[in-house]
Amino acid sequence: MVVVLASSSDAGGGIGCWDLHTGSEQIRYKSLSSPCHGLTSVGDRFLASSQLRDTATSAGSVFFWSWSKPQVEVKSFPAEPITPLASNHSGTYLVGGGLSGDIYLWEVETGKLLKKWHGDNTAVTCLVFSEDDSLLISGFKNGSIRVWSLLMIFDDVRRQEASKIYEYSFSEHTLCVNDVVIGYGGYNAIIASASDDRTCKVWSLSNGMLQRNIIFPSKIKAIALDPAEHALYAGGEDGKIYIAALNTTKITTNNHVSYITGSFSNHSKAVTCLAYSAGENYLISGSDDGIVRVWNASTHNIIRVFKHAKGPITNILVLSPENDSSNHVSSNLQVASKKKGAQFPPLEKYTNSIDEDSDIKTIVSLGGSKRCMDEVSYLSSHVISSYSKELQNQGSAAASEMEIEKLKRDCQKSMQMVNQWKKMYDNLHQFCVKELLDENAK
Amino acid sequence: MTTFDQFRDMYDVAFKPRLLTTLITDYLPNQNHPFSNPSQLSKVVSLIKTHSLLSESVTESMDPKAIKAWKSSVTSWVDRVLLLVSNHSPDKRWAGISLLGVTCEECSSDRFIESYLMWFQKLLSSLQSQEDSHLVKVAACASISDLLARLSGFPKFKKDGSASAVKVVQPVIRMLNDDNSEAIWEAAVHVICTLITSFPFSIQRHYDSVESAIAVKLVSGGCSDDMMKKLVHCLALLPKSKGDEESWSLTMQKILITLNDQLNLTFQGLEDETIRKEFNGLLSQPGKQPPPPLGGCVSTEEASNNITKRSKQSQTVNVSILMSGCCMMLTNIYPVKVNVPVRLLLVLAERILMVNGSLPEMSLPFMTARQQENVCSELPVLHMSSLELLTAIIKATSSQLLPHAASIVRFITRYFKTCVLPELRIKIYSIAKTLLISMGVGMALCLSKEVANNAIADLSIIEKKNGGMLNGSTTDVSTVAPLLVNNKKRKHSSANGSLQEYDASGGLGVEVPKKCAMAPISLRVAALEALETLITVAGALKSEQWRSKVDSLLIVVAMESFREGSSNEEINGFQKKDPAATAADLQIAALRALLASFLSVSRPPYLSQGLELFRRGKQQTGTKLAEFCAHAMLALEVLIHPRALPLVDYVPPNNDTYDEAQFSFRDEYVSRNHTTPFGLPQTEPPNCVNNMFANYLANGDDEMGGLWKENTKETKESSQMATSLPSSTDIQERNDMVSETATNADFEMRTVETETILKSDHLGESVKQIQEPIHEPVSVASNPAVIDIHGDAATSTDIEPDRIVSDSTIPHNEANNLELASPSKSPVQASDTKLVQQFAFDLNYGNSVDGDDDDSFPDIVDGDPDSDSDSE
Repeated sequence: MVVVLASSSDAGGGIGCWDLHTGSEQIRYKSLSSPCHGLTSVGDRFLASSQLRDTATSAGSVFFWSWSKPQVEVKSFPAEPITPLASNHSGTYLVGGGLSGDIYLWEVETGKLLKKWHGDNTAVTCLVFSEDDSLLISGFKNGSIRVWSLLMIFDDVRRQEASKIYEYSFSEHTLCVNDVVIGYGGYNAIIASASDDRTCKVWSLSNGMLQRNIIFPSKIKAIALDPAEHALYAGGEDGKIYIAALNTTKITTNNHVSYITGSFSNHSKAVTCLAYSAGENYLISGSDDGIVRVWNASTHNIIRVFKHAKGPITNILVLSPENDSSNHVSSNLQVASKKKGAQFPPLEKYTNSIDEDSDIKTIVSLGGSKRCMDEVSYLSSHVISSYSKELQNQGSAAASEMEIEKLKRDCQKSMQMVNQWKKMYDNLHQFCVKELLDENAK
Repeated sequence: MTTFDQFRDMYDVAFKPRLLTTLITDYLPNQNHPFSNPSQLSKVVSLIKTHSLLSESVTESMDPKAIKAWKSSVTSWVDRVLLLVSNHSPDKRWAGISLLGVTCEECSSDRFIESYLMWFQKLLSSLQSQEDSHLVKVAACASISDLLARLSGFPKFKKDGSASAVKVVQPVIRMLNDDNSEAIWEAAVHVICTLITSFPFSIQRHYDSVESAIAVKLVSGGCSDDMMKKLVHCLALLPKSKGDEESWSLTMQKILITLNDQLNLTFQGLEDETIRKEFNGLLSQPGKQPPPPLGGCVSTEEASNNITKRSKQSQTVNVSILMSGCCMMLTNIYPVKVNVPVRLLLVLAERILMVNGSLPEMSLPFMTARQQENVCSELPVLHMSSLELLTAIIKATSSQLLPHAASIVRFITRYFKTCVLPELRIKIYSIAKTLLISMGVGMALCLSKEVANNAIADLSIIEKKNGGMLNGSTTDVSTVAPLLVNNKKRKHSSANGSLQEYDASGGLGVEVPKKCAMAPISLRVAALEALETLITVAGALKSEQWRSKVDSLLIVVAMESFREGSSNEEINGFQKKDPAATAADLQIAALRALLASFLSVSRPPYLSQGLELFRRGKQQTGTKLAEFCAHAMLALEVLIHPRALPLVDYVPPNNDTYDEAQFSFRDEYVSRNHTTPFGLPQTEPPNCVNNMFANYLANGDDEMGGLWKENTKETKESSQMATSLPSSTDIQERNDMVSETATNADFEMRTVETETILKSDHLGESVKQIQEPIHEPVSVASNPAVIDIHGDAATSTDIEPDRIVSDSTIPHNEANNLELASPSKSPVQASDTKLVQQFAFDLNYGNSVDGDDDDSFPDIVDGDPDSDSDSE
């Protein structure tokens, strides 16, 4: 089963969850207003979202939901309002970006704030983990994009030595970075970014260079890559979804050069988020008017429409819960009950500076999540094969011991036999004597 | 059964009861006759297992008479076995008990459920009897553990099983404590392990006594290594019976405390005080009572007595055994989450690895040379086990290693520099591999230099030895030459190391002059594997300098391995006792690394030589090498015939102005082959590929080869481009130049475009038109399936000048404007001479093979007029 999750900045809207195939709404998690990029699934274990109460108060929060319950399970209140939120693929760390440009890294298991570092001088707008979870890519309101190596972040010694703690800093965007995605391919992956300056830029991770600059007619709010990275889908403020070619050589038509190979639209208002569902080749878009649309990526036809909220959609997630059974409801419940035990402490507000060695112990589930049955090993046939030879040759001490015992038993038996013979002999002797005596007496 | 009551074939059911009856009458001992030939029993067991004589697996189609016969023969088997169990003669009883164990394993579920209680009683009584001989006890342990193991497969009987299993625990513990035969201990430990995994509840009540029974044996020593390993395995499993976080931590802490005591004794006066203090500080938590030591208080006295008696040697054995216990605890599956003291374990590993046998000045008077000798002789074993501990930590924490990763990296880097023994180096390579794979790019940024340098040092020794031989293929030697100079220093140190190693292993004195420079094969294999991983994870990352070195090294090693494998094999096999790694392993490792190096860049520089090697390897029929080479050819085929087809079939709307362009470029193949105009339905690609081949083949016999050469040429040219990418700072000054070059390129590209379209229109009519595809091979090469950053870069040439924010325009321009490119070469390029060599090679290659076609590849010649003049 593949589900689509959508949140909105509308205060009462909650987070909706639909089955992509049937279109039925599964559950609606209660929430406040969720900012862009603030919704994440933590290693498929639970759902986390940053929340903004309202713009007046400076307080923000991060809520956790278990999959089964609409009520908030855990509420935590970080030091400042968090907007983008991301977790690594195994769901062990949670990263949040603050309005001040600070980036926070929590350990999910304990809720400890492991690291906090200053990203840039303006608010963090989006955070993405690389494929292997070793790099973190952050976009900022002032248009800069920075790539951090988490190893470097944790390495206090090298951080002090180095002049910069980021791996790359891209400053070619002139306005707010709205979305960042990273493709497949390890070190050869590409990073695509969208910005209010009406461009999408494609960067190379291997050398940190700008590979392509795509200019659009409107501000780009969201992007999605198709899995083969042939096309980049860009959602514009004018309500159109543009398709930009990535893997082509170049496009020239009548002195007009562009990578944009097409566009489609049924939005009355701006596209605010995009997601790609790889299994079905569906493109899912959310718009300012609170409607989620599912498109067929090849024909550009709308397949489903989910009406979610009054306010703009801020996040779309496409997830496929692990156990894929035919009965959707029961499988959902099953997932829920399995994950019910996943209770996690709230995230800490500050790094615990007193307890300096906060990383002494790490809570780890050994052997991963797989619960393989231990291989039953049988021993007796092995015993037979290893000892029968010994017995045959009477080589070892154990074998000779056994032999002795056997001989003892034989000896005992023979003794018995001897006694018996003796007895018989005695009897015979007695008999004969008696006979003789009798005869004599006669 | 009658003599002529024949059965159909070996799969006939009737055959089984017959055979079983024969086994019973002919091979099993009986009540009256002496048991003459015990070795026949193993034949009986193997027959029973291969024909599954006891399984009674019947289907409905079988003859009911045969089924009945089978059933009755199995019953008579069981009866006979049970008779033997209660026999007075020990050898017959042994046979009976063992065969009952086999029966438990092999018999049908129904029969097992029916009679397991009775069997259990029989076995238990023989387990409990005091005066039985050792062999009988061992057999009883084995059989009862088999019975319990089988029983654990029936969830219905879990409760009954637990009730029965509890009765086993006491006698088994008594065996561990009282008896003094290792065979019995081993069997008893096996039973306990079975109980822990199958019936954890049965152990719980006796948890402490089991723990102390094992720990006493472990601490006091006096067992063989094998036995120790089994004991520690059991100890590591033990917390599983409780299955909570608490008991895991407690056991771990107990092991660590015992380890600490032993280490303090062993390393007295040899180690740094600070790290010992750090370890102790981490070990004893403030405000907490330390747990009772392993095996209870009494045993430690006994143990310390024992220790004084025993030599230092067995102490270190003990340390490494306990360390392996830590590893097992970390790597075994555990039902709940546990709190792993990562820092403590890391300090432990570091503490041991820091000791290298040298004496700190202050402790000189306290240590005799004899003591030092003792410790030093055992240090490699200790280092090995702490490296294993490191591996286990990495494995256990996986993604949560992040906070500690930096310290591990620093530590490994330091250790790499001092480590000389091949075994330890191999281990450290494997740790580096694990780290690289688990932490990917981020780790590669830290570790790449270290791994590359060390691997180059370990591998490059060969080249020195065979430098003369290699002169035949001039290019390679010359490219590798600078590398040799660079690494001279390191090489010396490791050369010394290997020399020592050979002396230590002894018996190779004669060989030394020739062989001294060679690292052992297993080390070279490990180095190659580490390089392969490095390239896989971070092949083109930041285009670092090591990459070109490594590429050239790998091709040389691979070529060398072919030479070596043929001649030296027999002699080596005779003289070297190194079964772990042979020349064949080296060859595969070399080719694997070579494949990775080809696949990780878009333009592999030595592709043609590599393909030749893979082709040769594939001919060695029946070897692993041939298998791998076949795989490599498949993987490389994509480099030669790139096919980056879109995942989705794009059906663009009709009235879009961009469509035409999209059509002609993205679906290049499609348009050329005149199949469906816009993308392919997913069922059709085979067809397309076939057509593609048809095109190649239609160009005549030489065309395939020509294409290869074309490819390699392209490759080299662009590898030059790639390395000489200018830094981003000097874009500004180039912007003015760009405008003119851009128009140039634009023009050129446009011609391509029209041509392609033309072809796509008329392709069906004549094959001849395709026969001179001037630009096609070029465009093929610039569009490989690998995510092709440079390819994209090169093609983004002709966006309008005002939009050129990208410095990626430069590479292509460079081909046209050499005055632009030449200054930018210097910062990145390792050596210009090397480049020149490469180009010289290029051109010779090109000229000799397809000199006539030269004018059909105008842009190549245009591309490097500079080197052209150099070489001629």
